[in-house]
Amino acid sequence: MITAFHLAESLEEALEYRRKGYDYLAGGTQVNNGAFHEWTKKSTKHWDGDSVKVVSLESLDLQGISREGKQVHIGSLTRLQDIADSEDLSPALRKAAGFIPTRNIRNLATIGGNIGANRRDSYIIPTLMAYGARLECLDEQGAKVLVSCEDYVSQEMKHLILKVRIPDITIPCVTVKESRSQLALAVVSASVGLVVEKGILKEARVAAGCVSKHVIRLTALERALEMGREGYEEVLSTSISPNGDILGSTEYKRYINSVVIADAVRACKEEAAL
Amino acid sequence: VKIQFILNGKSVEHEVLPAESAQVVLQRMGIHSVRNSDDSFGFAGSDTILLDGRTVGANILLAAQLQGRKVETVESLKNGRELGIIQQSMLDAGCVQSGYNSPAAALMIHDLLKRNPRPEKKDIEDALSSMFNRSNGYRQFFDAVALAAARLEDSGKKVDTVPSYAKNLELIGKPKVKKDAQRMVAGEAVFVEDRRTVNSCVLRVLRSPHAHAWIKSIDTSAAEAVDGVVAVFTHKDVPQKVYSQAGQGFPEPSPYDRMLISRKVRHVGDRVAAVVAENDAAAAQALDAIKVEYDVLDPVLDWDAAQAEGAVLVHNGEIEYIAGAPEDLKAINKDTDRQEEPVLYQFPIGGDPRKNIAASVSGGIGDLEKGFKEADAVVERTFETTQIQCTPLEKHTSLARVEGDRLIIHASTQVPYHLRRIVATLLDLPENKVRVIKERVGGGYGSKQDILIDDLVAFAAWKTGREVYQQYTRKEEFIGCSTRKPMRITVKLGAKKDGKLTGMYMKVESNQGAYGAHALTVPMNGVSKSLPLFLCENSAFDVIAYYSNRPPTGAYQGYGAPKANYALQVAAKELAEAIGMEHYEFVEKNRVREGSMLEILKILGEGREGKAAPAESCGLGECMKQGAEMIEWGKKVESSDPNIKIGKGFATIQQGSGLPGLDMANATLKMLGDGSFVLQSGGADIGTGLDLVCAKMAAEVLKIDMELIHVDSGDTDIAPFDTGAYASSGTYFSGGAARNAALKMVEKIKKEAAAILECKAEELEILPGGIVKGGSAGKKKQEMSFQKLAWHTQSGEGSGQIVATASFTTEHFSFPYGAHFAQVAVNTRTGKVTVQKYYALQDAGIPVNPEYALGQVYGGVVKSIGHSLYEEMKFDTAGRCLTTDLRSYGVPMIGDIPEDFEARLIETDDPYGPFGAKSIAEISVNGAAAALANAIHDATGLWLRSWPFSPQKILEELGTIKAQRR
Repeated sequence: MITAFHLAESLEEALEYRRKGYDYLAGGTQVNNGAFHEWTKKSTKHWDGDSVKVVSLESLDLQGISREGKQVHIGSLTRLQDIADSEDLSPALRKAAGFIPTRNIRNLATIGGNIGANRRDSYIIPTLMAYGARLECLDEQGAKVLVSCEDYVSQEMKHLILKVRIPDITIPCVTVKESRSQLALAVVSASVGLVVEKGILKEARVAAGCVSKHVIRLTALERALEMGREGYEEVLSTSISPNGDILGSTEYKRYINSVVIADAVRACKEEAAL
Repeated sequence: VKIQFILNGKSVEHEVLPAESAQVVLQRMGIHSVRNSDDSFGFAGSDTILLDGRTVGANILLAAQLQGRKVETVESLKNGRELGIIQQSMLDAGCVQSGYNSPAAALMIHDLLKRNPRPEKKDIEDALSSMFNRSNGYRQFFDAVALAAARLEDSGKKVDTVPSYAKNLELIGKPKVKKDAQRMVAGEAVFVEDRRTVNSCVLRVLRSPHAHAWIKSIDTSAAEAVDGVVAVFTHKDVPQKVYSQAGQGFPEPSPYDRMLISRKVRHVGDRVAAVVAENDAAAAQALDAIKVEYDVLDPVLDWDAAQAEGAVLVHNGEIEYIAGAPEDLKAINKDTDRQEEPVLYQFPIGGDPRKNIAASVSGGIGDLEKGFKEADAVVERTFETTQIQCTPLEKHTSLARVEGDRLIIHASTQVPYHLRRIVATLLDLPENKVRVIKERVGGGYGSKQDILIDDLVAFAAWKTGREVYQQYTRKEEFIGCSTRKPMRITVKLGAKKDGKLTGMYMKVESNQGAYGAHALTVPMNGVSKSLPLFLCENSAFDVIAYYSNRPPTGAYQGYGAPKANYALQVAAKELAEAIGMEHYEFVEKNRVREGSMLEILKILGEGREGKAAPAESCGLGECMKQGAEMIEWGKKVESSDPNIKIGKGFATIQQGSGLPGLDMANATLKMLGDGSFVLQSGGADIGTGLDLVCAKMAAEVLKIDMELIHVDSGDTDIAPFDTGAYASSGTYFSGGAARNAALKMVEKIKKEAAAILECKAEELEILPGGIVKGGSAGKKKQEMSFQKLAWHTQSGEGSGQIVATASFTTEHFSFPYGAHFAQVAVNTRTGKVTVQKYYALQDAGIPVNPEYALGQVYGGVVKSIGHSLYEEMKFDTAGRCLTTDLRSYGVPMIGDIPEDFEARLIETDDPYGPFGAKSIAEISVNGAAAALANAIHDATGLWLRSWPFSPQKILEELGTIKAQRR
C-alpha cells in the first residue's frame, strides 16, 4: 500500500526522497499494479509491497528520443508507446515495446520504469541487452554512473535511470515473444543482436526473460554462435532452467524457449546475411 | 495530498490519499463512467480515461499522479443530451450490450480517430487492445469504427452492416437501438455501484485459506473494536437454516446445503466472517484483526477422490427431504455429524451426500445393448473439461438498505424474483417486505443467476439498519463466486457402415464444488442439449454430480451443453472415421430435422417429468449448408510453412427456449392519458436487449411507434413475476408475455372503443398510428385515436384506465439450432493454435433484434474460443486457485478473435415463439470446443479430449515433449 507520495521538482529532490526511503515512480504501471504486487511478493525482495513511499519523477525533463547516426539516446521517462511509434528506432526495439499487450499500459509505462521494475518477463530488457545498451544513472549520492543493462538488472540496482544509450541501433536484431493469447503472460521473451563487421560476426548478444529470476544473457548460445556452431536448440535446452508454473511445465518452457529463440537466432543471422 | 488538474475542460482541486487510484477519486467526483473491473491489474479497460490526450487506465494510476494533468472522460464526448458521433456509431453497430465499459471503448475510438481518421484493421485492434469485452465478442467494434470514421467525413452516413429479417413485420427483425445502451455509452449512473450514498457502509468477507476445515474458534473482539466498524458477523450470528443460492424456480432441483456463514468451511474462499464498516480501510483493518483457529480436514478435489472408498465427506450433515424421502432415510442418517448443517432436498434428485453425490439421474430409450450389437463400429471416448469463470466486467455488486419495515435491494441480478424469495425466506420475512430493484447488469452469463452476494448484504443491512454495499474484488470472482462445472464425459456411439447411428450413450460426471447449486440440471442439460441433435432409437445416459472442496460451481451460459456437446461432436467425428464416412455426410445423415419427434426428451425432464416433443422449426440443415459453402468444406488448405498445419472442423449445436412447464413470465401494459403506454415486464434485461424485445412485441401488436412504449422492468414492486433471465427464456417467455399483454390490450381497446363508437368490438380493427377503426354494417366507418380513447376511459365518466396483464407459459419446446465451422492453423513447432476462420450459423427463428442477436453470437463464440484455448482456473494440491486475475486466467481480447469471423442468422418461423422467435444467445457457446477440436484433428491427426487446447498439450500430444501428469 502506498503511504506517501511526493512529486519531485528536480533530480536533487528525487534523490533526497530516495535517501529517505522513497521508491521512484515513473509511469506507475508497475508500482500501482495489483499483479505486480502479487508477483513481487512471491518472487523477489526487490519490492516491499505492503508499505511503500513513492517519489514521482513525472515533472523531470527525462523524456525524448534522439538519434545521431547509429547512436540513440532514450530518456528514461519516454513512454513505451512513443518507442513503439518512433521512426528513429529499429523495428526490433519498436516491436519489443509493442509486445506490451495493451495500448493503455504502453501509454503510461516508461522505458526507465520497465527496467527499474526488473520483471523477469520484461520485453524491453532483452532487446536493450541485445543492443548492448548502457544506462546513464544517478546513484543515491547523486554521482553520474554509466552501467550496462545486464549489471543494472542482475545486481538489482536502484539507481535513478536518466537515459538509455544504445551505441548502434542499426545492428541486426530480432526480438521474440511467445504467449498463449494477446493478454497472457509470456513464456518466451528474448532478443538476439549480432555485431557484424565486413560480413564477419564479431559479437553475439542473446538475452532472454522468462527462464530465470531476471532477464539474462544466454552466454552458452552466444559462444556457440561466435564459434560458428549450429544446434542452437540443444545448446539452449541444456543451458536454461525455467521453472514450471501456471504458464506451463518446466519441460514445456525449456522446449518452447529453445525453439523460439533458436528460430530468432536464425532470423537474425539471415538479417545479418551470415 | 492535494491535487489540481483539468477535468473535462474545468480546473478542479481534490484532496486524495497517497494510495488512492485515479479511478476511485474520479468516481468520488461524480464521474460514473470510469469503472473498476480488475482492481488495478490494468487489463480490463473499464477504467479508461484520456490523460493529456492519451488513453490510460485510471485504476493503475495514482490519483496523485493527476497533478497538473489534463483528464478527459466520456462525459466530454457529448453535447448536452446529444451523444457524440462515436457513441452513436457504437449504438448503431450494436456494440453496446451489457455496456459496463462502453464509455471506455468510446474514448479509445475517439483517441484512434483523432490520431488516424482512416484506420485499418490492425489500427483498430491496437486502439481497442486495452478493452476486455465479454458480451459481444469485439467483432462489431470494427463496424462501429468504420461507421464513425465515415460519419466524421459525412454525418449522414447510414449503418449498412446490420441485416433485417421478417419482411412481413414492421418492427420485429429490424435494427433499433435499445434505450439502456444510450445511457450506458453516455456514462450515466445505471449500475448498482452508482446507487451508493455517502452514508453507506462497506461489507467485506474474511475467506477461508483452507479447502476443508472446521472453525475451532473465532475471536472478533479486536475487529469489533476497530474505529469505524459497525458489525462483525460469524456463523454464530446468522440464521440457523440451510438454503441454496441457485436462482431456480421453487422448489429447486438443487440441495439446500449451505448456511449464510457456516462453522465448516468447504473451499478456499468460503465465508468465515463478514465485517460491516464505515469505510474500506476500517473493514480491511477489522478483517486482519479477526483471529481464527481451524481444524483442517483433508480436501476432496476431484471426482475420483470424491467417489473413492472411504472418501472424506464434504457434507456430512443429516439428510432431509421436503417431499419424497426414501424409506431408509433413518438408516442413511445413522452416522451423520449433528454439528454439521443438514442437506435438505425439496424432492429426490438422486443425491447421496454420504457418497459425496449431490445429485444423479439415469435414463434411456430403446435397447442400447441391441443398438451397439447392430453397429459395425463402436467408439467409446472420455473427455474432460476444466473449471472456468464467467468473468463479467461488472463484478458482483449489491446494495441493500432498510426503509421502515422493508428491505430494499439494488441488485445486479438475472433473477430479481428468485432473489426476493430467497432473501425473504432466509430472513423470515414475507416477500412483500422485500423489494428488489434490478439495475443495469454489466454482464451476467449465468453467474448472476445465483444469489451469491445479495444474501449476505441483505442480512447485514437488515441486522444493522444501515445501507450496506459490497462489490467483489476480481479475486473473489474466482474463489467466492460461481463457475462452470468441470466435467468428465464418456461417450459411446455405434453406427452401421451406411452411417446410421444405432446406439448413443453418455455418462457425465461433474465436479460440483463445495455446494450443490444446479447439481442435477447442469450435467443433465449437457445430455438434453446434445444427444437430441442426432436421431437414434437407442440412447441412454448417466449423470452424477460429485461434491468436492473446489470453489462452488453453478450456471454459466450454455449450462451443461458446451461440455457434453464437445464430447459428443468429437466422438461423432471419430465414429465417422471408424466407419469410413465423411464427417459432414455422417452428421447430415443422422441429424435432427424439422418435424423430427425427439423421443429422447421423454427421459430428459430437467427437474420434471419429460415427454417426447417434435422439433417444430429447425434450420439446422440450412446452417450446415451455408457454413460448408462459406468455409469451402472439403477443400484442403496448405501452408507454405512446413510447421503450420491447417485444418477445418465443424459442430452442430442446439439449446432450448426456456423451460416449458417450469418457466413463467408476466407483463402488464398500461395505456396512459395520451394513448402512449408503459409496459411493466417481469423480464430481467441483463444487457441483451430484452426490454427492446418486449417493446417491439407490444408495439408490433398495437401497430404504434416504439417511442410510444416505455418498458419498466426489473423492479419487483412494479412489474409482475417472471422466473428470470436464464435457460434461454427471455425472448420466448418474457417476450411472449409482453406480446400476450398487448394482444389483451387490443381486445380491451376494441371493447372500450366499441362502446363509444356504438358498434361491436369484432367489427373494429387497429390501424397503424394508434387508430381504432370500424363500425356497424351500413354505417360509415368511424375511427378513434388511442389518445381520444384514453381520454374517454380515464375521464370522470370513463370505465377506468385500460390495463392488460398477461402471462406466458407453454408446454411447447422451441429449439434453436446452429452449425459452427472453424479453420485453424496449428504450429506444430510451438503448439500454438490460430483460429483463421470462424463462421457461426444459427437458427433463432425470427431474430427480433438483429444487431444484438448477432453480437450475442459473436460474444458466445469468443467466450467459447477462450474456454477452448486459453481460459483455465488452475489449482494447487491444497485446492487454492492460482489464477485469480483476468490475465493469468486467460480471457480472450480483440487480438485473439478469428482472422475471418462471421455470424449469420438463418431465419425460420417457430410456431410457438412470439412472432416466430426462438432464443439466440446461450446456444452460441456450444460449438467452438468441438469445431476447433475437429479442425485440429483435420490439421494434425490429433484427437484432443480435454480442453483447453493449450500449446503444451498439443506438443505433448504430438510427442514433442513428455506429457505431464494432470
